[in-house]
Amino acid sequence: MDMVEIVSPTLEEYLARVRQLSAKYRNDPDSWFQLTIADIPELDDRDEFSFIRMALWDRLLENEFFPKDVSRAQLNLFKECDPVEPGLNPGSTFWSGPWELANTQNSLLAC
Amino acid sequence: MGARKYAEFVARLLNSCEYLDPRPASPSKIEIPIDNPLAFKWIDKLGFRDGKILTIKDMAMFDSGGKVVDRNFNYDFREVDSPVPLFRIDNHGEWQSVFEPCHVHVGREDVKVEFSSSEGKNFQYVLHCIKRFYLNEQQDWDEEGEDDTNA
Repeated sequence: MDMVEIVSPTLEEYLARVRQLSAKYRNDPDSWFQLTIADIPELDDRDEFSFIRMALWDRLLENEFFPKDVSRAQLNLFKECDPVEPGLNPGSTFWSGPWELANTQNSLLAC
Repeated sequence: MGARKYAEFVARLLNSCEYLDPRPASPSKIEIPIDNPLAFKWIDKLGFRDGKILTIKDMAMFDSGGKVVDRNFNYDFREVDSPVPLFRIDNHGEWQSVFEPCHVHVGREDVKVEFSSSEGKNFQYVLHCIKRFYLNEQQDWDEEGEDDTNA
């Protein structure tokens, strides 16, 4: 018998774990990204969370907020917002016009 | 050596360890995430001869060159029902650079000896200490305390 089994969970499996922890300690799985080590008194859960936080946190955040599979339909939503008159969102370079629209689309496609 | 090679190294060490008792009924699981093959996580308990138990928490981040960068680890060797360890080597349950000190606690929890770094204080070293224990040989911490013989 092999003495060691190397397991390689996916990002989705780690997300499920951290959502479980968030449900347990924050009563809200959806706000998992606000979970901190200070929220978790149980040692086993702290170890689990600290590993995810150290090894996968950036990827989980990226996956949550900048998913790779932005559909064409979602991009079309930006087109429907066009044109946005410059100056309607003072200080915003992201939502304020055609140039920003093109950049937004390029950014999403590049993810 | 990298996360996967370290896992394979652990497997070889377990296969050749003569003090495991009972031999584990199922394989010990080591996690290496698909999305981060530089990360290593091993949490388990192993039984040893004469009613001893080793509680393992070994988490590490490797760099792309295969060297350990950060660790969060705790190897606790004790009698199964004892409230105090025969020895416990740890870096206090926090992620720290491998070059930060780690400690060995002996007997009562507040007795400790500091190592200058956790480099080399890995599973191989712990098995080495366990072997010394069974052979009644002197441990590093039985001497002057500070040990810089990092493997």
